[in-house]
Amino acid sequence: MFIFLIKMFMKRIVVLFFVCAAAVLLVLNFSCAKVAAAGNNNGGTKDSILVNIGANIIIPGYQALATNVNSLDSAITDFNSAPNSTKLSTVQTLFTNAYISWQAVSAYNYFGPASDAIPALTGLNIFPTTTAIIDTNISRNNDNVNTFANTSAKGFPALDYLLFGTNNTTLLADYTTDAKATNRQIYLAAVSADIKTEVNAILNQWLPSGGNYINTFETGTGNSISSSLGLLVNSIDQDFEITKNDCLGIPLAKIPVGTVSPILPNEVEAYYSGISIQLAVAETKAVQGIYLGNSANGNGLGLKTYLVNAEQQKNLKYNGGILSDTISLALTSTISNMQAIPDPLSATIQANPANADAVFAECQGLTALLKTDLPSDLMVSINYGDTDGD
Amino acid sequence: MFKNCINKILLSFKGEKHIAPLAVLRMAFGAIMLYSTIRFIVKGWIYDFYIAPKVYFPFYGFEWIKPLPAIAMYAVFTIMAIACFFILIGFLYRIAITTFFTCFVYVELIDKTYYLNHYYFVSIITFLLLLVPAHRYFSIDVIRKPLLKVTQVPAWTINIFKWQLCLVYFLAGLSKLNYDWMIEAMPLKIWLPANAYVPLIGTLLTKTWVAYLFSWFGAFFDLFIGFFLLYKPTRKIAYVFVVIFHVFTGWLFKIGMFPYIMIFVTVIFFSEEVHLQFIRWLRTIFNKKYLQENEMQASLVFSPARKKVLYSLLSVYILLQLLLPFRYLLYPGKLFWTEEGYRFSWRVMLMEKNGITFFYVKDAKTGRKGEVVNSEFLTPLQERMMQTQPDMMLQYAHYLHDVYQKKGVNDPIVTVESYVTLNGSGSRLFIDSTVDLSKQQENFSSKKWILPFH
Repeated sequence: MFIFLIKMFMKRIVVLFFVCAAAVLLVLNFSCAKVAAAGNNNGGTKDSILVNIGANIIIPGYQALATNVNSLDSAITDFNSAPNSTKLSTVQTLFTNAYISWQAVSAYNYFGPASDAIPALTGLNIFPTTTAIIDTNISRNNDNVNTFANTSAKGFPALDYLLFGTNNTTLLADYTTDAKATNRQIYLAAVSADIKTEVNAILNQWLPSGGNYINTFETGTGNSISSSLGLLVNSIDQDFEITKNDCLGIPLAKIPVGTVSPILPNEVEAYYSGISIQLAVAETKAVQGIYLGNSANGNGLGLKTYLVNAEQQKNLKYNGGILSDTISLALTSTISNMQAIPDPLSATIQANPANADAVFAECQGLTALLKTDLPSDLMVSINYGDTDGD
Repeated sequence: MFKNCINKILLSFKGEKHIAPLAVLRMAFGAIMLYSTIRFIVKGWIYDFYIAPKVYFPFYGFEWIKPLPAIAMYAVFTIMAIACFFILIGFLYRIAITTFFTCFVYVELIDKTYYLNHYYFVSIITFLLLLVPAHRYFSIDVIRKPLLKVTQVPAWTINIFKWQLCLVYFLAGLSKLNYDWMIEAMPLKIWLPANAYVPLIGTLLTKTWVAYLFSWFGAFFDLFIGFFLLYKPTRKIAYVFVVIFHVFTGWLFKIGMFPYIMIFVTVIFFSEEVHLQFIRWLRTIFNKKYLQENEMQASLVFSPARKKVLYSLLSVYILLQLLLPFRYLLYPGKLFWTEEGYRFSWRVMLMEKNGITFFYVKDAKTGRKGEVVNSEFLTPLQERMMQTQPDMMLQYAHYLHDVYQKKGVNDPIVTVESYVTLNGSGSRLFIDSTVDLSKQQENFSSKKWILPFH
């Protein structure tokens, strides 16, 4: 009986099935078209603010990083060929430069090429580094750093430990007379080579001669989650929150880790080289650069330009003042107060954490501005789902 | 005059009407919900919304509703899609509509993060479709059991949908009659310029007068469109406006399926002749042998017992529909700020609201205090929604209390420092940051710990 019914209605069910299939195709088509529009908008118009940020800030940022990382890598090769104290201090200086220039681009690491190259994002600055894993890898002569197990045994924090883990005399001995000296040299080179490969790949993806993501970025107008403005604002917010939480919050025990704990001085970024504050300052300055549009090529258009436009059009106010200026001032003040904290941070928070505490609170205020008022007044979507209709 | 009007409305619920509009509504609704359900699945939202999160925000009184294991959640949505298809073709209609209603409402109740007025609207339309005989004409069910077929149905089964739609539009319009919307043209003044990159009209959207025009037109449209749709001489042009208005807003704003659902459902306003014509046109597509129906008049009459059940259900539903949107009057403070009595009231597109929360957990014994990293527990969307909605903050605070107690913190004191900006007001303190939220309970009374807006 039922089979008879099915036979009877087969034809119509087939017709209706096709109607539905068409509907499904439409959906797929629709969502793909949207992705294409966001990701590959070649002939589109360029936004002058995005052009300034892309061409004068982001690309030079990655270029500087690549240069520093490349010279660090050659210096390490040179050091390994015949380790001595002069070469060691050259490597150490170059490492500091490279790490600081990494901080200057970390604000763009949450979209585009850097976030596509997943190992670069998750792997190059995981701190605190797990020294036990590094030591084991050295004893076993395991120089494949790109495995899941080595997530916290690679990148800049690993170099920090390998190049500053102890005093320079002992360190030099570790690379020359120590039983595992050769293994240690191999591991050092492997970590550095990994950073070099990842960074150059990201830069290449941005460059017009390579992946040409710069064009996608400059033409990705609009304010959706996939627009360049949307990606940029979300990326900055994410990165600055990490600076606030991981560089200051966790060491100062402002963040509950398990049982609310006492201060954790050895969880600071760059614990061994002791340049934590320099790094945090570099990151915050990068945020300031994008906001003001400042670069080595002079002052230009930045996120603030959007905000000023929006404010003029809509006569927006921020608690009686002007939001765009409030953010500028908050950035300047946070940076100068941060600079006033003496490095190494690990020692400072044990001796006199009051300054660092105050800066943490200031970072919180800045986070509020960057995460609520800025996106709200620019109408940048931080929403992945649908919103309410009219 | 007023009495006359009421009489006319009451009269429209009596008498009989041809069933055709109901059959078309059933197909239109089935089709658009099928599309909507598939879209939801294709976008990967089942995982993002109902599998990935560690914590959920159920509605007050429905805390017992929990998401199912991953595979079952996928099954629920697949069943919904199949049910939509059955509704569309009118196959096993009663079972299909009941299944869809149950699954849809279940999913909506899991987490208020994803609450949208149009999901609420879909729930209501499904509920109404559950009560009416929408499958007893031009359906597979009628072919299977010809005795089911009727041509005349009680008029209320059709008019209840018109009533519901008029109510939605009118209340949406009424809620737009506020200072921000009418005098400040907010939030459109913020939202429209953000679309400046749109071709052709992009530059226009940055103009202030355009924001005012849109605000006033939007309010006027919502207030009166229902009546223009009811009134025969203006119906056609009103429907054209419905299509243009919804397509346009759908194009400018990220509002998902809502415009299309409204365009599809408002066809109910057309007369039976229009619907019959449409059905005749559909018949020409199919083999006439099975679907050709001889129009013998047959009326559907509900038994007195059935009537009693239906009418009491409808009375409760109508009463709720009329009262819920005004419950906010019972709460002090600015509605947009506190959001007490905000949901289920057809308040849409009224606020550009954004917030940030710094939650603190303090050990009652040792006095040690730390800030919570919200992204450790919440998805980005949950975090964003929680940061402007006090009832969600309360739920989250209770969750944090339990999590940190398990981690060994003594009687955790959970406080929040929260800043919110509303329609470009500039961020300001939202919640009393001294109150231990883990000791506060959710109930229908006003939340004293929400700071006044000023």
